[in-house]
Amino acid sequence: MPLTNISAYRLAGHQIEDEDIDPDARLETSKFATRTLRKTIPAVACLKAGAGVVSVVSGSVLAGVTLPDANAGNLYMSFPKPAEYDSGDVVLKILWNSAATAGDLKLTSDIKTATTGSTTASGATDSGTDTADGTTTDLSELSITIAAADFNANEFIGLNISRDPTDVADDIAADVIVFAIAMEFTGRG
Amino acid sequence: MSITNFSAARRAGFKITNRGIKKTAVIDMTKVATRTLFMAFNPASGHIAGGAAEATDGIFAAVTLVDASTSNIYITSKLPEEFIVADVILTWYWKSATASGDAKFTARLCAKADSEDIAETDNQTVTTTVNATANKLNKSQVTFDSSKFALDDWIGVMISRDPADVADTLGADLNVVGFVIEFTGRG
Repeated sequence: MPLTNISAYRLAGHQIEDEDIDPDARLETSKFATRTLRKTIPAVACLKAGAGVVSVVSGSVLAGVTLPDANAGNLYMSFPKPAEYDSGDVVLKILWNSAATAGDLKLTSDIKTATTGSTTASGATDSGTDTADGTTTDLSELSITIAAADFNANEFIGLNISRDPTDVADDIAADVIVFAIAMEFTGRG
Repeated sequence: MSITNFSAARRAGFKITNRGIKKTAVIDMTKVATRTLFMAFNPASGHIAGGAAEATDGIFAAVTLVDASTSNIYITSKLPEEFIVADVILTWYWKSATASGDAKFTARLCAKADSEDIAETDNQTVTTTVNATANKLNKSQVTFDSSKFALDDWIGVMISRDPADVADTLGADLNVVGFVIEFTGRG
Protein backbone atom coordinates (compact mmCIF):
# COMPACT_ATOMS: atom_id res chain seq x y z
CA MET A 1 0.00 0.00 0.00
CA PRO A 2 1.42 3.41 -0.85
CA LEU A 3 1.80 5.69 2.15
CA THR A 4 0.08 8.81 0.89
CA ASN A 5 -1.18 10.04 4.28
CA ILE A 6 1.13 9.07 7.08
CA SER A 7 -0.94 10.63 9.88
CA ALA A 8 -4.09 8.78 8.84
CA TYR A 9 -2.12 5.61 8.57
CA ARG A 10 -0.81 5.97 12.12
CA LEU A 11 -4.20 7.01 13.57
CA ALA A 12 -5.70 3.87 12.11
CA GLY A 13 -3.39 1.95 14.36
CA HIS A 14 -0.90 0.88 11.79
CA GLN A 15 2.75 0.85 12.57
CA ILE A 16 5.01 1.85 9.78
CA GLU A 17 7.57 -0.83 9.12
CA ASP A 18 10.30 -1.22 6.56
CA GLU A 19 8.01 -3.65 4.77
CA ASP A 20 5.53 -0.84 4.10
CA ILE A 21 7.97 0.77 1.72
CA ASP A 22 7.29 -0.25 -1.86
CA PRO A 23 10.54 -1.71 -3.15
CA ASP A 24 9.49 -0.75 -6.67
CA ALA A 25 8.90 2.91 -5.80
CA ARG A 26 10.67 5.39 -8.08
CA LEU A 27 11.68 8.98 -7.61
CA GLU A 28 9.90 11.42 -9.87
CA THR A 29 12.31 13.68 -11.73
CA SER A 30 10.13 16.62 -10.65
CA LYS A 31 11.36 16.00 -7.10
CA PHE A 32 14.98 16.61 -8.08
CA ALA A 33 16.44 20.00 -7.28
CA THR A 34 17.20 22.12 -10.31
CA ARG A 35 20.81 22.69 -11.29
CA THR A 36 22.84 24.07 -14.14
CA LEU A 37 22.96 21.64 -17.04
CA ARG A 38 24.54 22.05 -20.43
CA LYS A 39 24.34 20.93 -24.00
CA THR A 40 27.54 21.36 -26.00
CA ILE A 41 27.80 21.62 -29.76
CA PRO A 42 31.22 21.27 -31.40
CA ALA A 43 31.75 24.15 -33.82
CA VAL A 44 33.01 21.70 -36.45
CA ALA A 45 29.62 19.97 -36.39
CA CYS A 46 27.78 23.22 -37.25
CA LEU A 47 26.80 24.31 -40.73
CA LYS A 48 29.46 26.84 -41.75
CA ALA A 49 28.81 29.87 -43.95
CA GLY A 50 31.06 32.68 -45.15
CA ALA A 51 34.39 32.87 -46.97
CA GLY A 52 37.16 31.32 -44.94
CA VAL A 53 34.78 29.77 -42.41
CA VAL A 54 36.48 26.39 -42.31
CA SER A 55 37.41 23.78 -39.72
CA VAL A 56 40.98 23.87 -38.42
CA VAL A 57 43.12 22.55 -35.58
CA SER A 58 44.71 24.87 -33.05
CA GLY A 59 47.51 23.52 -30.90
CA SER A 60 47.76 19.77 -31.35
CA VAL A 61 44.36 18.56 -30.18
CA LEU A 62 41.57 21.15 -30.29
CA ALA A 63 39.54 21.42 -33.48
CA GLY A 64 37.40 24.43 -34.25
CA VAL A 65 36.15 26.72 -36.98
CA THR A 66 37.80 29.91 -38.21
CA LEU A 67 35.68 33.06 -38.17
CA PRO A 68 37.79 35.39 -40.32
CA ASP A 69 38.56 39.06 -39.85
CA ALA A 70 38.05 39.73 -43.54
CA ASN A 71 34.33 39.04 -43.75
CA ALA A 72 31.31 37.89 -41.78
CA GLY A 73 31.20 34.27 -40.66
CA ASN A 74 28.32 32.14 -39.42
CA LEU A 75 27.78 28.89 -37.55
CA TYR A 76 24.30 27.39 -37.72
CA MET A 77 22.82 24.61 -35.59
CA SER A 78 19.36 23.24 -34.80
CA PHE A 79 18.21 20.97 -31.99
CA PRO A 80 15.23 20.28 -29.73
CA LYS A 81 14.80 22.25 -26.53
CA PRO A 82 16.42 20.01 -23.88
CA ALA A 83 13.83 17.95 -22.01
CA GLU A 84 15.71 18.78 -18.79
CA TYR A 85 15.18 22.55 -19.24
CA ASP A 86 13.18 23.98 -16.35
CA SER A 87 13.21 27.76 -16.43
CA GLY A 88 15.33 30.85 -16.64
CA ASP A 89 17.79 32.52 -18.95
CA VAL A 90 20.17 30.47 -21.05
CA VAL A 91 23.86 31.31 -21.24
CA LEU A 92 25.89 30.43 -24.30
CA LYS A 93 29.54 29.90 -23.42
CA ILE A 94 31.78 29.91 -26.46
CA LEU A 95 35.39 28.69 -26.35
CA TRP A 96 37.67 30.56 -28.72
CA ASN A 97 41.28 31.46 -29.44
CA SER A 98 43.21 33.86 -31.66
CA ALA A 99 46.73 34.74 -32.67
CA ALA A 100 45.96 38.28 -31.49
CA THR A 101 46.86 39.28 -27.95
CA ALA A 102 44.74 42.41 -27.78
CA GLY A 103 41.34 43.61 -28.90
CA ASP A 104 37.77 42.46 -28.42
CA LEU A 105 35.82 39.76 -30.20
CA LYS A 106 32.09 40.33 -30.59
CA LEU A 107 29.81 37.39 -31.37
CA THR A 108 26.09 37.60 -32.03
CA SER A 109 23.48 34.90 -31.47
CA ASP A 110 20.21 34.73 -33.35
CA ILE A 111 17.78 32.25 -31.89
CA LYS A 112 14.35 31.00 -32.87
CA THR A 113 12.26 28.57 -30.86
CA ALA A 114 9.87 27.10 -33.35
CA THR A 115 6.92 24.77 -33.58
CA THR A 116 4.36 23.82 -36.20
CA GLY A 117 3.30 26.98 -38.00
CA SER A 118 6.37 28.96 -37.00
CA THR A 119 8.65 30.72 -39.39
CA THR A 120 12.39 30.15 -39.30
CA ALA A 121 13.25 33.83 -38.99
CA SER A 122 15.33 34.99 -36.04
CA GLY A 123 13.25 35.44 -32.92
CA ALA A 124 15.79 37.22 -30.78
CA THR A 125 19.26 38.70 -31.20
CA ASP A 126 21.81 38.89 -28.41
CA SER A 127 25.54 39.45 -28.32
CA GLY A 128 28.61 39.25 -26.16
CA THR A 129 32.16 40.54 -26.29
CA ASP A 130 35.36 39.15 -24.85
CA THR A 131 38.88 40.53 -24.77
CA ALA A 132 41.64 38.44 -26.31
CA ASP A 133 43.88 36.66 -23.87
CA GLY A 134 47.33 38.22 -23.62
CA THR A 135 48.95 34.93 -24.62
CA THR A 136 48.30 33.55 -28.09
CA THR A 137 48.19 29.94 -26.91
CA ASP A 138 45.65 30.56 -24.16
CA LEU A 139 41.95 29.85 -24.47
CA SER A 140 39.19 32.43 -24.03
CA GLU A 141 35.52 32.08 -23.18
CA LEU A 142 32.83 34.46 -24.40
CA SER A 143 29.33 34.51 -22.91
CA ILE A 144 26.00 35.50 -24.45
CA THR A 145 22.80 35.51 -22.38
CA ILE A 146 19.50 34.59 -24.01
CA ALA A 147 16.37 35.63 -22.10
CA ALA A 148 14.13 32.82 -20.90
CA ALA A 149 11.21 34.09 -22.96
CA ASP A 150 13.28 33.84 -26.12
CA PHE A 151 14.32 30.26 -25.39
CA ASN A 152 11.28 28.65 -23.83
CA ALA A 153 8.54 29.62 -26.26
CA ASN A 154 8.48 26.45 -28.34
CA GLU A 155 10.16 23.12 -28.66
CA PHE A 156 12.55 23.22 -31.62
CA ILE A 157 15.46 25.61 -31.76
CA GLY A 158 17.51 27.17 -34.52
CA LEU A 159 20.65 29.03 -33.49
CA ASN A 160 23.11 31.09 -35.51
CA ILE A 161 26.38 32.32 -34.02
CA SER A 162 27.96 34.99 -36.17
CA ARG A 163 30.88 37.40 -36.26
CA ASP A 164 30.81 40.69 -38.13
CA PRO A 165 34.37 42.05 -38.07
CA THR A 166 33.11 45.45 -39.28
CA ASP A 167 31.14 45.91 -36.05
CA VAL A 168 32.80 48.69 -34.07
CA ALA A 169 32.74 46.51 -30.96
CA ASP A 170 34.83 43.87 -32.77
CA ASP A 171 38.33 45.34 -32.81
CA ILE A 172 40.47 42.24 -32.48
CA ALA A 173 41.70 42.63 -36.09
CA ALA A 174 42.54 38.96 -36.53
CA ASP A 175 40.92 35.67 -37.41
CA VAL A 176 39.50 33.77 -34.46
CA ILE A 177 38.84 30.08 -33.95
CA VAL A 178 35.61 29.01 -32.26
CA PHE A 179 35.94 25.51 -30.79
CA ALA A 180 32.56 24.74 -29.24
CA ILE A 181 29.34 26.30 -28.00
CA ALA A 182 28.05 25.20 -24.59
CA MET A 183 24.45 26.10 -23.83
CA GLU A 184 23.97 26.31 -20.06
CA PHE A 185 20.48 26.30 -18.56
CA THR A 186 18.64 25.60 -15.35
CA GLY A 187 17.29 22.09 -15.54
CA ARG A 188 16.22 19.04 -13.65
CA GLY A 189 17.63 15.56 -13.96
CA MET B 1 16.73 14.01 11.11
CA SER B 2 16.68 11.75 8.13
CA ILE B 3 14.68 8.55 8.50
CA THR B 4 16.67 5.67 7.12
CA ASN B 5 14.98 2.85 9.04
CA PHE B 6 11.28 3.23 9.89
CA SER B 7 11.20 0.36 12.37
CA ALA B 8 14.15 1.74 14.29
CA ALA B 9 12.60 5.23 14.27
CA ARG B 10 9.35 3.89 15.73
CA ARG B 11 11.13 1.90 18.42
CA ALA B 12 13.04 5.04 19.34
CA GLY B 13 9.71 6.72 20.10
CA PHE B 14 9.37 8.91 17.01
CA LYS B 15 5.90 9.46 15.61
CA ILE B 16 5.91 10.08 11.89
CA THR B 17 3.29 12.61 10.78
CA ASN B 18 2.51 14.54 7.64
CA ARG B 19 3.98 17.60 9.31
CA GLY B 20 7.30 15.82 9.25
CA ILE B 21 7.24 15.75 5.49
CA LYS B 22 8.12 19.00 3.73
CA LYS B 23 5.91 19.04 0.65
CA THR B 24 8.22 21.30 -1.31
CA ALA B 25 11.33 19.33 -0.48
CA VAL B 26 13.50 18.45 -3.44
CA ILE B 27 16.34 16.03 -3.71
CA ASP B 28 19.79 17.55 -3.63
CA MET B 29 21.52 16.08 -6.67
CA THR B 30 24.68 15.50 -4.65
CA LYS B 31 22.66 12.83 -2.82
CA VAL B 32 22.01 10.92 -6.03
CA ALA B 33 24.36 8.01 -6.53
CA THR B 34 26.89 8.32 -9.31
CA ARG B 35 26.74 6.11 -12.35
CA THR B 36 28.44 5.68 -15.69
CA LEU B 37 27.26 8.18 -18.30
CA PHE B 38 28.16 8.62 -21.94
CA MET B 39 28.83 11.29 -24.51
CA ALA B 40 28.72 9.90 -28.04
CA PHE B 41 30.05 11.46 -31.22
CA ASN B 42 29.69 10.64 -34.84
CA PRO B 43 33.29 10.67 -36.14
CA ALA B 44 32.12 12.38 -39.31
CA SER B 45 30.98 15.35 -37.18
CA GLY B 46 34.57 16.00 -36.14
CA HIS B 47 37.48 17.61 -37.93
CA ILE B 48 39.48 15.17 -40.03
CA ALA B 49 43.04 15.58 -41.26
CA GLY B 50 45.85 13.73 -43.00
CA GLY B 51 44.59 10.86 -45.08
CA ALA B 52 41.29 10.62 -43.19
CA ALA B 53 38.13 10.80 -45.27
CA GLU B 54 34.41 10.64 -44.61
CA ALA B 55 32.71 7.42 -45.68
CA THR B 56 29.66 5.29 -45.12
CA ASP B 57 29.96 1.77 -43.80
CA GLY B 58 26.73 -0.18 -43.98
CA ILE B 59 24.30 2.14 -42.25
CA PHE B 60 27.06 3.78 -40.20
CA ALA B 61 28.62 7.17 -40.82
CA ALA B 62 32.36 6.62 -40.74
CA VAL B 63 35.77 8.17 -41.13
CA THR B 64 38.38 6.12 -42.95
CA LEU B 65 41.85 6.04 -41.40
CA VAL B 66 43.92 4.96 -44.36
CA ASP B 67 46.85 2.58 -44.53
CA ALA B 68 48.78 4.89 -46.83
CA SER B 69 49.44 7.80 -44.46
CA THR B 70 48.78 9.21 -41.01
CA SER B 71 45.12 10.08 -40.36
CA ASN B 72 43.53 12.09 -37.56
CA ILE B 73 40.03 12.70 -36.18
CA TYR B 74 39.35 15.59 -33.75
CA ILE B 75 36.34 16.23 -31.51
CA THR B 76 35.92 19.27 -29.21
CA SER B 77 33.25 19.59 -26.54
CA LYS B 78 32.77 20.48 -22.88
CA LEU B 79 32.45 18.15 -19.93
CA PRO B 80 28.81 17.76 -18.94
CA GLU B 81 27.56 19.27 -15.69
CA GLU B 82 26.84 15.69 -14.57
CA PHE B 83 30.58 14.90 -14.62
CA ILE B 84 32.39 14.24 -11.37
CA VAL B 85 36.15 14.02 -11.33
CA ALA B 86 37.12 10.42 -12.06
CA ASP B 87 38.88 8.50 -14.80
CA VAL B 88 37.46 8.99 -18.29
CA ILE B 89 37.35 6.18 -20.85
CA LEU B 90 37.50 6.95 -24.55
CA THR B 91 36.20 4.15 -26.76
CA TRP B 92 35.96 3.99 -30.51
CA TYR B 93 34.47 1.33 -32.77
CA TRP B 94 36.00 0.43 -36.11
CA LYS B 95 36.08 -2.22 -38.79
CA SER B 96 38.37 -3.30 -41.59
CA ALA B 97 38.24 -5.55 -44.62
CA THR B 98 41.22 -7.48 -43.35
CA ALA B 99 41.10 -10.39 -40.92
CA SER B 100 44.56 -10.26 -39.39
CA GLY B 101 47.01 -7.75 -38.02
CA ASP B 102 47.02 -5.02 -35.40
CA ALA B 103 45.93 -1.41 -35.57
CA LYS B 104 47.79 1.03 -33.36
CA PHE B 105 46.12 4.26 -32.34
CA THR B 106 47.24 7.32 -30.39
CA ALA B 107 44.61 9.23 -28.42
CA ARG B 108 45.47 12.79 -27.38
CA LEU B 109 43.57 14.82 -24.81
CA CYS B 110 43.33 18.53 -24.12
CA ALA B 111 41.22 19.25 -21.01
CA LYS B 112 41.39 22.93 -20.15
CA ALA B 113 39.45 25.89 -18.78
CA ASP B 114 39.18 29.54 -19.79
CA SER B 115 42.59 31.27 -19.84
CA GLU B 116 44.53 28.00 -19.79
CA ASP B 117 47.04 26.95 -22.40
CA ILE B 118 45.88 25.07 -25.48
CA ALA B 119 48.59 22.41 -25.20
CA GLU B 120 47.95 18.69 -24.96
CA THR B 121 47.11 17.38 -21.49
CA ASP B 122 47.84 13.70 -21.99
CA ASN B 123 48.21 10.99 -24.61
CA GLN B 124 47.70 7.27 -24.60
CA THR B 125 48.33 4.56 -27.17
CA VAL B 126 46.50 1.30 -27.74
CA THR B 127 47.11 -1.59 -30.11
CA THR B 128 44.13 -3.76 -31.03
CA THR B 129 44.12 -7.00 -32.99
CA VAL B 130 41.47 -6.99 -35.69
CA ASN B 131 38.59 -9.47 -35.53
CA ALA B 132 39.50 -12.78 -37.20
CA THR B 133 36.50 -12.36 -39.49
CA ALA B 134 36.77 -9.51 -41.97
CA ASN B 135 34.34 -6.61 -41.70
CA LYS B 136 33.33 -7.25 -38.10
CA LEU B 137 33.31 -4.45 -35.56
CA ASN B 138 36.31 -3.94 -33.31
CA LYS B 139 36.65 -1.84 -30.19
CA SER B 140 39.66 0.13 -29.00
CA GLN B 141 39.81 1.96 -25.70
CA VAL B 142 42.09 4.15 -23.61
CA THR B 143 41.68 5.57 -20.13
CA PHE B 144 42.61 9.12 -19.18
CA ASP B 145 43.47 9.50 -15.51
CA SER B 146 41.19 11.61 -13.32
CA SER B 147 44.09 13.94 -12.52
CA LYS B 148 43.87 15.29 -16.08
CA PHE B 149 40.38 16.74 -15.56
CA ALA B 150 38.69 19.48 -13.58
CA LEU B 151 34.97 20.24 -13.33
CA ASP B 152 33.69 22.36 -16.23
CA ASP B 153 36.74 21.72 -18.41
CA TRP B 154 36.48 22.04 -22.14
CA ILE B 155 37.85 18.90 -23.78
CA GLY B 156 39.36 18.04 -27.11
CA VAL B 157 40.26 14.53 -28.17
CA MET B 158 42.24 13.47 -31.20
CA ILE B 159 42.53 9.91 -32.49
CA SER B 160 45.31 9.21 -34.91
CA ARG B 161 46.66 6.22 -36.74
CA ASP B 162 50.18 6.07 -38.11
CA PRO B 163 50.37 3.01 -40.36
CA ALA B 164 54.15 3.41 -40.57
CA ASP B 165 54.42 2.56 -36.87
CA VAL B 166 55.93 -0.94 -36.59
CA ALA B 167 53.17 -1.92 -34.16
CA ASP B 168 50.52 -1.19 -36.81
CA THR B 169 50.51 -4.36 -38.90
CA LEU B 170 46.97 -4.16 -40.25
CA GLY B 171 48.04 -3.47 -43.82
CA ALA B 172 44.62 -2.09 -44.73
CA ASP B 173 42.34 0.91 -44.31
CA LEU B 174 39.95 0.95 -41.37
CA ASN B 175 36.67 2.76 -40.79
CA VAL B 176 35.97 4.41 -37.44
CA VAL B 177 32.19 4.40 -36.96
CA GLY B 178 31.71 5.90 -33.51
CA PHE B 179 33.25 7.56 -30.46
CA VAL B 180 32.06 7.24 -26.89
CA ILE B 181 33.38 9.22 -23.93
CA GLU B 182 32.48 7.31 -20.78
CA PHE B 183 32.56 9.18 -17.49
CA THR B 184 31.30 8.97 -13.94
CA GLY B 185 28.44 11.35 -13.29
CA ARG B 186 25.30 12.14 -11.38
CA GLY B 187 21.85 12.45 -12.87
